[in-house]
Amino acid sequence: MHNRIHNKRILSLIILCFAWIASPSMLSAQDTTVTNNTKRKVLGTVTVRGDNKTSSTLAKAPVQIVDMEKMERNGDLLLSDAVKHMAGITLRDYGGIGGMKTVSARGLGSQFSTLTIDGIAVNDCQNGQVDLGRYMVGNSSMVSLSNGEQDYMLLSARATAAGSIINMETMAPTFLPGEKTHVRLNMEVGSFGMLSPSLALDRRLGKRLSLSLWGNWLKSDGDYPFTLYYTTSHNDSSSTELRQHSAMWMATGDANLFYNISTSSTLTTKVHYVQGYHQLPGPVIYYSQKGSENTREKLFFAQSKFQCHKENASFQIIGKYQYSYDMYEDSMASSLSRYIMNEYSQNEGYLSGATVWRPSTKISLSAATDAALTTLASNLSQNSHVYRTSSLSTISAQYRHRKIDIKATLLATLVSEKVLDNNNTTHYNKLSPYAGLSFKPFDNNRIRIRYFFKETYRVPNFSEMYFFVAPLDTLRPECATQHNIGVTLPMTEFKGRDTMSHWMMTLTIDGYHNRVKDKIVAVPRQNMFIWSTMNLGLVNITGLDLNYSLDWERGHTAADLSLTYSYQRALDCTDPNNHKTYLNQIPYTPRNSGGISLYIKTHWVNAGYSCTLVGERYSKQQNSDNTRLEAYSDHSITVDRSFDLPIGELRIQAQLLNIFDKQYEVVRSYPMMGRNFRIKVGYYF
Amino acid sequence: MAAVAIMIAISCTEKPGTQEPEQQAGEAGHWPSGVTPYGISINQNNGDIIVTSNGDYVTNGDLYVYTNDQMVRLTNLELGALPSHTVALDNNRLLVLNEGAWGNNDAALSFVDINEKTAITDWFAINNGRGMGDVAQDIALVGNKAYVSVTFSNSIECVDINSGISTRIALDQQAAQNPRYIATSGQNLYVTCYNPPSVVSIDTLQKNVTATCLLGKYHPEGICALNGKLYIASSNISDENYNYSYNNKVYVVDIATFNLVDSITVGVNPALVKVLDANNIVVNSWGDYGANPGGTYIIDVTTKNITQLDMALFNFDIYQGNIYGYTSPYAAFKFYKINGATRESTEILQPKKR
Repeated sequence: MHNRIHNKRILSLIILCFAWIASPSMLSAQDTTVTNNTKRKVLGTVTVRGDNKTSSTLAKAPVQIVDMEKMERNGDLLLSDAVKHMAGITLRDYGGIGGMKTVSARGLGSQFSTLTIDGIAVNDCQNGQVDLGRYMVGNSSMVSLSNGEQDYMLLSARATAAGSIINMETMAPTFLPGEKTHVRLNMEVGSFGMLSPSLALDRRLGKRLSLSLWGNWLKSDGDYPFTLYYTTSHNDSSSTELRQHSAMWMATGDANLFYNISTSSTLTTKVHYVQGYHQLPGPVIYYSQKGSENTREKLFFAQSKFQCHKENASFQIIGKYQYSYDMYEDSMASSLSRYIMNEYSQNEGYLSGATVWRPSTKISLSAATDAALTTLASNLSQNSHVYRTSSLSTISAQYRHRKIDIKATLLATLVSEKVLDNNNTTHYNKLSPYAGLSFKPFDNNRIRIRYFFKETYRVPNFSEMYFFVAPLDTLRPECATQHNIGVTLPMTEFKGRDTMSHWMMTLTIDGYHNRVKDKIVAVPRQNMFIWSTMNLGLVNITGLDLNYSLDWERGHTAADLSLTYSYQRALDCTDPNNHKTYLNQIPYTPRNSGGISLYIKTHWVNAGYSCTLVGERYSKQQNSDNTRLEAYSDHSITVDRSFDLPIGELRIQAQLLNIFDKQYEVVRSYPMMGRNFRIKVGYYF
Repeated sequence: MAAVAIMIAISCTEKPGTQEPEQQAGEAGHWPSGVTPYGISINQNNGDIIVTSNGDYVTNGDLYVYTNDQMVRLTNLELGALPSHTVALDNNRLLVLNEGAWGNNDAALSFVDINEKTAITDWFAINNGRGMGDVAQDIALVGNKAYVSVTFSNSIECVDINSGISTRIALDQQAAQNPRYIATSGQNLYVTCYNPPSVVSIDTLQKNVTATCLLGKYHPEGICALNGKLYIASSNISDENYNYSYNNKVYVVDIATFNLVDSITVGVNPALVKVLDANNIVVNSWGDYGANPGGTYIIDVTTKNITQLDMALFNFDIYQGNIYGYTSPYAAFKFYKINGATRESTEILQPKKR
């Protein structure tokens, strides 16, 4: 325990190091020096070659990082838990542990966000958006959100193509001399039948080879109580109901092989499998609640990454195969029809190569190319077999000197797809630029100013293309342009009045203007049951993200405070003649949102408080009293303590979530859980 | 920092209202262009033509009221989500049913005063302290009670039109659920239900279901009562892959025995059924959106003689033996007035070019 506190400053450095390790970037070596005997969290110093340092304050484009320590102390279970406190994120949560959770970054829409695991994209060609509730963070060393382009040179082209990237980084095993095995056993129980046991096993297989295995089983009955209000004003009739048909289970298995081939090259391989079952409770309907929809899903992928770093050059090769299966059934059919059962299976093969050349210490040049073949098969009668070949290529150049850091990238997207049922083919070819700049204006001050510009094309996903009536005109890709300008104050350290205490603060403020044009929207075509898609929408978003953190440390006691604030003015600018929607805030996007988190470490026990604040939003394109969703705040507290045992360490954590039992909805008619608890016991050796 | 502030400042200059949106107003004899009609009803007291717009399914719809000779009485009066059926309380006061969107619990009744040009869309919630629920399908006026079927909330709301206070008949625990269209006769309501496809008889005094008649595998929709019989459109059903299969029948149910006694074949996917006069009903069919187009049929219920009209009406209402309706709004639609006896048609409310 106390070692962690003693090593506070080292920890901070480590957090940065994790960010570097985590990046799909160049690491020259794994010369691990153990600085902490807390075995499950072996901290290493890593030699990192000059041009690939990144941090939330030095980067040219905003990046927000949540490291393992923070996730652990917040008791984060799902990926959505880890990202919800980040600035600029709008989480759409359908409630409960099993409810779908998607994110939209800076008003762009969820389909502009890509999830990567160890820098390699998890692709969903069917809906183009990722349910963050289907990924667990128990085996991750960090989660990051990057707007614009990530600050590395050695990036796959696909990682460059997204409007924003959420990256999960797998925890890499580290061993003290003489150690061969680490085990982490966790058992978590919570309200409403929540249960989550997990087992992690790290094993050194050789001097340069190590293996990590991780397995988790999560289940929840989801039958939580909520207050149902029978008017939008919430001042009239209400009743207490139980969420019905909301159970879920999900089993996750993850295996990783880390092979340091030499001091300059590494090979990492991951095999990942998730299988789950979710009951969908559907929206709460006044007077009549019936759930009859279920989903079953499987996701398997195997990915491998080889990286090699030489004096003036680096390169990486990635290969991946991904299979996913999704089944949706409506057992009694929500009254509109009889039994419904849809199956979708996707296969993807993916290859990526990237190389960086550093002709001088200031200049880096890189090129990357990706190829993917994706197929989708369904049991639908039309367009049931589709395949898409996509090829993405980038070239980029970076100049980095003391005061200035500039990068420019050009991305070429070539996509072609074919419907096997009717041999229809569609092609998309696009060029999109990115430019980023970070500038240090003062010699005696570490303040930096940054700017980026990025254009992103989002090719229509398979649902938009094929599961509606064929569009009249060929769908064009959606286009998002982002401008960001920011000020960062890197980690600034100062001492308190008594020399015993240390203070450390960081601050980033970014203002942005985004524009989404040719937004794909669904419109009714022949009747209200048959809809088609069109490039119709135009959205202008102006916003501000603020991240502030203050750390204090004195002897065995330490405290971390972090604050985030987001302002998003996301206006529908589609049709000036439509006075009901023109310049209205787009649905589910709060003007103001923010979070507070405070964590206090003492010799005896650690305690944390966090809160999410979300301003009012609208559930529809027309902003009116009847579509307004009330502002809410959700407060949670957590207490944890670790005990050193003769062998290993025991950690106990108790969390009380939504302590004020606030009844709120993120998505209309989908109530969230009220007050609930979780208790986690972990044993690590 | 300054740059950030400037950026915010720039964006704040484009305030709502700086650009005056063009109002899509109705003009005498004309329907405003760019507006898609949704509900059409005729005020049985004075023949006013009452049309609502669909708000493109994402915004609130508007109300347009024309006199029977197509003079504008009211235009662009904002109502709720998907306003559809209207019942007139007298020459100037209307109750407009807003269907609402699935999962939103936003079904509502707008109380409209044409002279005052006002609509109180929360009228039901204000008077009852609760909303109607999810997807209101039909409204029928009998005496001083308006009966509303709320499909996904499984309710029949019995609204007193003077006080606005409603009693809810719950179909939750009943054999037939998800009510759709309503026909009335005496103190009984006859309501088609989706689940299972059926028609139920509801006693409005006892407020309970007194009889149920199953109607095969297709969803029943429109219904009317004439001369002791119910005439019910049997429309379509989707299979487990969302493939729709369509029926082409109007089922005939005898009110006294509450049994299915006959069926009449019309076009594919029949939707609405209304009484034309003492001996005739009007049925429209929506077609299968493929090879089989929609149609409009006048059926003599005595001889079972069927006359198909020249135009396929998407939605219609009846007033004094005339049919008022419009054709499919997903193409270049037209409004028609058709004499039910002579079958002579006139185009009304021609779209006005902007």
